[in-house]
Amino acid sequence: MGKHLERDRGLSYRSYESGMWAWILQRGTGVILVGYLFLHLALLSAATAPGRPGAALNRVLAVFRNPLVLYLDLVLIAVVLLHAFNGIRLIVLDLGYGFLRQKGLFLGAMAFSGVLLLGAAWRLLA
Amino acid sequence: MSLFKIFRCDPEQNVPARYQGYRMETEEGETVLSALVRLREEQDPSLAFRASCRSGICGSDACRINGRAGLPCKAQVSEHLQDGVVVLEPLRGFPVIRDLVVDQTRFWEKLRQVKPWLIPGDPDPEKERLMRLVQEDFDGLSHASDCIFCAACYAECPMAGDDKPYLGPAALLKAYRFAVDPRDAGGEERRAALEGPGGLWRCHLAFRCTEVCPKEISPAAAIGHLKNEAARRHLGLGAKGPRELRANGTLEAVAEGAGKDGD
Amino acid sequence: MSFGSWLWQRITAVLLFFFLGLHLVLEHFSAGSAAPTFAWIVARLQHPVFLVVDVLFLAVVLFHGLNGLGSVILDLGMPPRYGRSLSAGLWLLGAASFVLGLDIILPLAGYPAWFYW
Repeated sequence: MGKHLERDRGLSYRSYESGMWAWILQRGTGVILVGYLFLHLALLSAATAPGRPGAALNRVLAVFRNPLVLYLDLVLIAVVLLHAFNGIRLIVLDLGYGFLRQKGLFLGAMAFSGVLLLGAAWRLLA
Repeated sequence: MSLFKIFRCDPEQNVPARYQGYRMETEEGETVLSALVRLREEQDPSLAFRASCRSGICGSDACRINGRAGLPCKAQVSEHLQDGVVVLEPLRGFPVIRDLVVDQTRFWEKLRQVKPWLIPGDPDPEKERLMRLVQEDFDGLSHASDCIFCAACYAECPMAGDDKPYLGPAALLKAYRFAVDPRDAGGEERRAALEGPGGLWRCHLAFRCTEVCPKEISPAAAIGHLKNEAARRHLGLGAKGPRELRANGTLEAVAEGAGKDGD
Repeated sequence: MSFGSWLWQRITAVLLFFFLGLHLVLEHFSAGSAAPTFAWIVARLQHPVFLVVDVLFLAVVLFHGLNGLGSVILDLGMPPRYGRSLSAGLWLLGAASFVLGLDIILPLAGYPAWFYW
């Protein structure tokens, strides 16, 4: 029998509820952050290469004062905050609390991230 | 007039996958399953689907209704019409045998891995083994044993599937049902399956199982409890008995389908 | 990829909450402007506590990231028989990245660099 494995036909995201969105968010931000971690290491490694210490790193750091890069930086901080507070939600559930308040936990995690992001935006862009 | 867009395919006859539309007048309160039966009788005898009890007890007719796993026998056409259309597809994550019929062999194999039967603690055949279950303890596990193995949770779980080792929500819920049964002593025997590569640690609490469960059980809360227990055992912290579980709300969480957003 | 992997993912998560919080506050919000200068970073790393914190942070963030990545790969359906190879590969990648990271931190703290490119 020719096996036809049903997997991707008809994305059903319209019916996703908070738990599913939280999972997608945690996966997505996690993968982005691993990618960024290696980019970060590679850039720093290149910038601090022996022979031209200081000058190169200062040039890289100067890039971070560019307004456009500041906005990108803010996106990164948003990703970190979402992953961090959604992660706290997962640990709370793992400890056995909050199953009856799952959606509230998720919304709380989102709200915390939002508030801290606003704080970071105010500090970075002001 | 309702339009049913139904996924059709027949790998045995090399008929490629496609969607076929059927127009039919449906009655007030008619279920999707009733419409399917009438479609097969009145329009297309080649339409394949599984069904038996027609009342949400046997769990054999599960398929995807508008992209979400559910039971056609419990779904009313009028509630699922989107712009006059209902889309019916086979369960995700399974090989399709024909149309809406999927091959559930792996699903049942995985269920068997958790030994879904009562393993009594005292095997002494000389003694009369009267295994009493007090009402309170029965209340704790009765909702978890409502599962009808329709496989909706398994089909929708992003970590489960026929091509993946994860045992899935239904099998782990069954393991939970025996874990909270005071008559059962099979914890040790089920450990290999529960903590193997397809076991508890593959659950990442997406709660999709709980969203789609037609019996409104929360496999997510049940798996959460099993993980908690496994972690306590690994770390040398004592296990929680059924009475403690009642006190901390675990049983209630599983029974109330905790994790659903609610409407 | 089992209980140990699950437990350490949570332990490192809690540690990262502090390490990453400190990192963000220090590098973004305490250096006087949005981005610190080379001299400021070098001055900070002269303090042994900061050096230890940064090295620990590097190890913890690599474990959390690569362990999480392994979990994603397993969930995508990698057969369990490749579990050991996956684990070995990730540990190797982590160790190499850790050495690369040390080679960034230690020269800034005044130790000689190991690699010259």
